[in-house]
Amino acid sequence: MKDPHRGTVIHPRARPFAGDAYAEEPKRPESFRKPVTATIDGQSVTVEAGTTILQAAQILGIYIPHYCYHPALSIVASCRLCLVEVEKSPKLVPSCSTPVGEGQVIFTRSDKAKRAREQQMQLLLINHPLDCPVCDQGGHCQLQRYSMDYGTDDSRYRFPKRTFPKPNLGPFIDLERNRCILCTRCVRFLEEIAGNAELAVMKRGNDSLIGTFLERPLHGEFSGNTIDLCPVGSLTDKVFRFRARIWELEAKPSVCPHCAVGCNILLDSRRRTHELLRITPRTNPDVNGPWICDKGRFGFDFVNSRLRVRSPLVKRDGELKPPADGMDVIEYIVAQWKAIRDRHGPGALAGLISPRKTNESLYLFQRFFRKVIGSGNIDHRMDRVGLEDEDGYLYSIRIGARNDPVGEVRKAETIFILGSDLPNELPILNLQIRQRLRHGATLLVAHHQGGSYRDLAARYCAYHPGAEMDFLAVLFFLLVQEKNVGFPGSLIETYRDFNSAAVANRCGVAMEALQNLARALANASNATLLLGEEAWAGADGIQTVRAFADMARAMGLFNENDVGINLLLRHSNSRGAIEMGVLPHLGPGLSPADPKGKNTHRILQAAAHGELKSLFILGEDLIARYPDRALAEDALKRADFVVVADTFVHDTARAAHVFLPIATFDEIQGSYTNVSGKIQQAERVLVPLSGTATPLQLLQALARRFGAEWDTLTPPAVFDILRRESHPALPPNKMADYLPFQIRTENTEPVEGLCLQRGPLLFDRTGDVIRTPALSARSQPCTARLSPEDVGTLGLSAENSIVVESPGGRVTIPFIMDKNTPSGSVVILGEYDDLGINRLTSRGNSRVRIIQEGE
Amino acid sequence: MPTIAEAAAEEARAILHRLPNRHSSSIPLLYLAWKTCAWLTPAALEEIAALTGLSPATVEGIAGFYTMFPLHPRGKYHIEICDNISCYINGAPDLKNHLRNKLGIEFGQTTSDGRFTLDHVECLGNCCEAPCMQINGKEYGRLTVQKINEILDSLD
Repeated sequence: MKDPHRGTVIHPRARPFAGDAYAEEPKRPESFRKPVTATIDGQSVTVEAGTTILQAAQILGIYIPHYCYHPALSIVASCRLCLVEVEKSPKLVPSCSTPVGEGQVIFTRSDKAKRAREQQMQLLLINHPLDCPVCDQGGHCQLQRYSMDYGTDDSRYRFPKRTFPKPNLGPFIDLERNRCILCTRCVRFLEEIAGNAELAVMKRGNDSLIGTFLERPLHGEFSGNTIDLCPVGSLTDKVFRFRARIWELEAKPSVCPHCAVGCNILLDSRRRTHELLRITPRTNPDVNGPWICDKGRFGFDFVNSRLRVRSPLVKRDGELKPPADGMDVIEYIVAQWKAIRDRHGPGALAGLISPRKTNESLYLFQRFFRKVIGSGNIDHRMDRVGLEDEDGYLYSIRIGARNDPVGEVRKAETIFILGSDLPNELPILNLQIRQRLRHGATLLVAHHQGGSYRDLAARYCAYHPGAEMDFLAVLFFLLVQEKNVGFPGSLIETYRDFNSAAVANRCGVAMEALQNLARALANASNATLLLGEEAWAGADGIQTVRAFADMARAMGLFNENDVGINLLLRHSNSRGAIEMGVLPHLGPGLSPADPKGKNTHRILQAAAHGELKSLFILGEDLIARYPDRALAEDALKRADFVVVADTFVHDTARAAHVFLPIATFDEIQGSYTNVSGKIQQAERVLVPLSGTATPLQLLQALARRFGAEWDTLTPPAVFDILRRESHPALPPNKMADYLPFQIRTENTEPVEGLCLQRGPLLFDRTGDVIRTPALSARSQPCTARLSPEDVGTLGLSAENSIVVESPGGRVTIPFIMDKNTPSGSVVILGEYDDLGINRLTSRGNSRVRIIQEGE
Repeated sequence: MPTIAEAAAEEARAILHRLPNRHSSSIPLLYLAWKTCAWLTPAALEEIAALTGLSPATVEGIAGFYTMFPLHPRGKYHIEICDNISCYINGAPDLKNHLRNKLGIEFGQTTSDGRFTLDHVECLGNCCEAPCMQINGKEYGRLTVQKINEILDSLD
């Protein structure tokens, strides 16, 4: 039977062996610096000098078996499976490490080569337990495959097999050393690509084993890739282990829902049990290469959670309960909304949607509110308080910013990051930056706290929290001097009475460090400038973007098309939400909105004052996410009618009058736009859990009851419409001259208490993470980082937790002394939905008091 | 336990200065740590990792490759018995069993009173006196069960 929802199915066994598809495109012979011609199995091939025999054979379509060789890793030639015969060479040579020589005659399938492979397979299998029936790799194991293709039927080994103790490497990865063939792919990946050599070969000879330091669990962000790299069943997926056999799975292409890079992934599901079972990377050289981070790989089990709501819930007697028999929930919602609209006008309704939903959902959401309800009160920005509709990102689009961080980083020789702790925000971009550094690129970082790049960056400047603008002002001033371009006329007013030393002092960076950074930037070739959300989303966001763009201009990073600045986003479809026009003042394609409306903050304020009567929140736990928690709580309490649509019942849902369960990312077909503006399609893997609906179905059902004709809108149909309507009319470079910006002149006066700093953390504990056992086990405990001076002044003892207190509430958490935290600050990273850290930042507060627990 | 930085900062700096890269400094630093800490404690390995910029796992891998580096505390007397070919055909297997039984420990272990650690060793270059062993670097040849008993008894 033909299933319209099946789409592209990639059979697991038809998949290329992990990473093999990542080999670079073979170059065309005319571009070779020095060509060499050789004969492999009777076929002549011309390659560039230095190409190995294995690569040359690949060009001819001749497959040479290999375990330790991987195109993305260094070559060790330890597995000896790729041995080939070369005429006139007395011994066989490893083809993965031997460059092709002029006139060489190579045989990959001669009797001698075949026999060597047979022998080698026997040696590799001497200690292998042959426990294929209970091994998770069974069915996609290179050891099985090569045993069939190149091995012998029998082993001559008659002695006891060597065994090793089994370590615990944490919640993600299972290491079974007895199956290991010591190809060291995992060791090389972690050392060369991930940048933290957590695995190493311990001991020697027959006792050699793969291990971690003191058998500690793995802590990196990319350890999951070693599962794909392991050619045998030694490193297996602890989450997927024993849940299915590989041939039961159906893999479909999708896009990772976690961060704004939008890594390409394959979702492995089993339809018989309606389960999403595994996520593996889908190689895309333009986005993620062959890798994904651990959060993306293991962060999916919430979709299988039993806590998922399977029917609409309606509030009765102060509690959410399944609707009474015969009640049509959609009809009920529409009736309520119509009544509110009739009584108070369409402006009394507002909608907030998560920027992690598909373009199709986002597009229909704004269309539903603007065209069907007639209200412009929509926004997608729920994780920051923005008083103005416009923010730094939108401004950057207006001046024609390049905004292609993923593409830019790939070819950069100098990377400057301002205001982002990138490894915790966009991990795969961090991986690419590390790869660039290995190729000799320079990393320059300015950030307000002890960020992850402190040790890696060639220059690292830590400015005072919130002092991005001061920092940039001095940096630009010094950069112009270094560049010797002449001071731009349009900025003379900006820099009147400018005292660089005083401003540098105010932002807390030594003049010398700024000078060095400016020099490095001035001398940089092929530079990429990245601006983090912390910098562009702040109160000075637009000014920061202006100064940043001026910097790009001074560095010559502009052309007629764009200005070479790249702003970073956090959520998987933040860019899509902007382009789809889920903004109070901008419609699809950044056209002026009709009607205009209120932004998140204004919506919540109006609701808290009783002016706005109804809220529709789709896909986000607003109370847990919004920095002004008290305002969000007030708004939801005061509003007459709140509808929340999400996967689980959370704090926001409990405040709702109606809760609608929606499908998870694997059950939705749609497109996502990544941080670089690349639109990527995700296929539906499973049908939505019974009782749930996709956001698209939900919006259509609502619109239909309002009388709108939306019946035929399938995801592809919506995509067609939005492609026509919302194609972002990206303005070309609008920067004719340097943009004047404002430098704050007033000194920030010291206030009582400590300044609370928030920031992203990769392994934190949001609602979905709490319901994903593996990710929950990996999540870092919530801690407050304090400077040693403050710990001393406050007389804190590390044995007990501390109470962090503000007018909005208090949380009790452990603290760690961190010498990179500036004195006067307390840093709490990550979202912890179970703790409600955002209580502390209620009412725009950023000062906290700290006392030892129990005092 | 003193750290390398406390006990031998000067020497450590000299090693890092003298050798061309971080991998090559690791072995002299391991010797230094052995000297200052009596054995290669986890803290010492981590310190070497921090000094060289290698990861702790890599340092443990390097130390573990060379069996003479002590990754565990050793007893007062470190008995290393050879079981290479000359010693083997002259009776090393029986002597190894005798040592295990007499001391009540397996190879690689230390007696509970902390006096003896028993280990294998590769050829000591003394095949003319096979079978042989060494205790704290001092060689004993032409071993028999009785001679081993006498040697062990003579140790305080």
